Amino acid sequence: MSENGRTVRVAIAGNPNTGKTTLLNRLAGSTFAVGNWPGVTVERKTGFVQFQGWRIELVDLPGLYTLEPLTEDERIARDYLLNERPDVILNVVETPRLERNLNLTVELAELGIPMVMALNMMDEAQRLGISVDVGKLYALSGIRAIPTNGRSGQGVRELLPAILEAHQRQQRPTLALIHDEDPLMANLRAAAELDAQSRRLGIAEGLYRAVVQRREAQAREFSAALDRVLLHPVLGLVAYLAIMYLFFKVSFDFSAPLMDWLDGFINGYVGQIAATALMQIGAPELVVRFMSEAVIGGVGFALTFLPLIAVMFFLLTLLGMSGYMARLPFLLDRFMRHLGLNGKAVIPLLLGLGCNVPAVMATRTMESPRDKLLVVMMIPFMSCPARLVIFSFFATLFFPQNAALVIFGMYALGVVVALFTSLLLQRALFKHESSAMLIELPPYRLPHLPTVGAIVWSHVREFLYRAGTVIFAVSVVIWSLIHLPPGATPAESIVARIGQAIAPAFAPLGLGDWRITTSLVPAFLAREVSLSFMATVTAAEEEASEERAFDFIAETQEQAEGLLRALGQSVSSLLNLNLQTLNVEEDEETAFLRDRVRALFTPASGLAFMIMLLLYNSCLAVYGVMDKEVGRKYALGFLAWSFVVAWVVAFVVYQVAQRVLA
Amino acid sequence: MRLSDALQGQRIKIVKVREECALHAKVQAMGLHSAREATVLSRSGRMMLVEVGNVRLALSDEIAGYVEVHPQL
Repeated sequence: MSENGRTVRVAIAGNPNTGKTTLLNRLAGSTFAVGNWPGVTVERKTGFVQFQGWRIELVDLPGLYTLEPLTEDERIARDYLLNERPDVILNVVETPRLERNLNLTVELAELGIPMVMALNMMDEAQRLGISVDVGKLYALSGIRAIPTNGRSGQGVRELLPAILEAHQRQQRPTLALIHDEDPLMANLRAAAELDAQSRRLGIAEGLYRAVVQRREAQAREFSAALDRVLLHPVLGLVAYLAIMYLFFKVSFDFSAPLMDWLDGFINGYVGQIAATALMQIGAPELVVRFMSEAVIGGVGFALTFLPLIAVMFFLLTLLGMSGYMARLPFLLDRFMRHLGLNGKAVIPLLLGLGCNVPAVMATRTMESPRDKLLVVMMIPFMSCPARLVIFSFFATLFFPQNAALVIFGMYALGVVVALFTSLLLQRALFKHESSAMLIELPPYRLPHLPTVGAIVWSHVREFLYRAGTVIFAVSVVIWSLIHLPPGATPAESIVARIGQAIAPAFAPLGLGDWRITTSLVPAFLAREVSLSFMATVTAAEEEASEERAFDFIAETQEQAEGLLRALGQSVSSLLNLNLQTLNVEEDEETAFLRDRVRALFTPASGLAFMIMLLLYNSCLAVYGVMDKEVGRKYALGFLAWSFVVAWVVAFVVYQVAQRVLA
Repeated sequence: MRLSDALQGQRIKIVKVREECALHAKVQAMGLHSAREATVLSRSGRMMLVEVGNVRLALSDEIAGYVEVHPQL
């Protein structure tokens, strides 16, 4: 027991997908990601709560079925339980599937650590006609069980006094002291001759029979009926393609009017207010330019893509929480198998559409190191929303009639290169076949909208944080370098010299202008920085525009009306099944940037630029997590490979497109 | 017979999971252990979907081949 000044360390342990993280979020007020598939949590997550003068440290562990780990996330959970010995175990069980969950409970009980059980998803159990005699469960096992519903929060606060009591009274499970007449005892006797695991299974089964009553209830056929369609070999694939189409259609079409509005709001409204305010207080011209060029031009421009990022994460979260994502390994395994991959690879690859960093971490759930490495090497080619920002800008600028097709082409190219990389690695390094697969399919669940909102907000916050830190810092550095040495024009600046030095390497791709080559360098920090860079440079090159009168009330009213119009257009876009182009209307505030980018690129070099940013390692954070998950050798190897493949593909596409589009 | 030989819609009773299976402990802890009854809901390529109690498991032939079962009527 480690009682450091009235602190209780609590391990939240249980089978995968039992709602452990949801309970942690409820108890500690945290906003860790949750979902409805096994393997959402792949590392330890800690939250704290003060209760009755005690500091309760809640450690959420990756889900596991036994204490014999096969995957890295299971090993993390097992090692914490065995090596760090928490003061209390909060065993979170999925009550509708209690029989299976009790297998782990028995194994945890053997650790001799005080334990409390959260009978989670009690509402679902009740609908299935399942009731649990918690008094008998306590009498038979020494484990106090609290019925909870993580989604509504029902019963969750009652866990805290139970945890404290278990700690203070050292209430260890007492499975050995079971009364003779219980069915559990009969199972114990029968199991006495068996190996350790069979004995545990026997105890769990006996315990289940003793404490659970099932009355005849109309079992929910919803999941079964949906599975008959969604897991059907043919219908399931049609449904999958339709869902993916809707995913992108809604992401693009819903967010386009809002992006358009935000663009005008930041550049035309906020920018004007800032400039007017600075001029009114007599700020030096350099400060006014810094605000309009570095802050509004650089950071503000990146922020206009916020609706796209929010909508995409919203839809991805819906897919995860509904239980559909968990089924994709089963549905798509036969295709992945032909490509030498395991169906489990689908989930990390799909998560890569949201962000490559958690996607790489999600490979911890894969049993085979070979499969894990192959998938990690594929993930950075999955296009994340940061790259979509680039694609949407360039596609609408150079291919306004076929913007959606171009964007889809970029996503498809990423998938093709990912598969090519995997096949190449299999041929060169891993000749044996993909490993066996065993997964649990959770029931379909209606996503809990407040939880979905919290998850989307955490991603939006992360993007805002990046805008306020990385993008802002890069914008400031670039803006400063553009104005150095003092008195130099942007074309004579330090930035221009750096760009000119590396330009020959990119000239064969049509990307020989210093403004383009230099924008590729900070893009390694975060993809959208390349556009912010161009916005900063073009803003610096722009002649100071004439000051125009700013009517605050009229402008505010116009912005409010514009927002309502944009919301109306977003909602009405959902009624149209056809994918409309990402038609971000040009307004005078950003027209200069678009004109300058049009002058810097041709449609062919625009394609080459998109391909470079698609294929060359996604960003610094992804490199960092790859280094951690598969080692420096492979992470560095991937950097080199992704640059080579990006350059070669961009070169080929540029050369072909130059002739075709001429 | 082995679980991998079971047909779609067939109800079976698990006899044992052979210890040669690398996932032996996990397979059992997930609910596929002796005396449990299960139903093969569907098959797709090397994968099969099995229902054990309230739990639905998707497993590949490589694993199902280690699970010995008796067909049930």
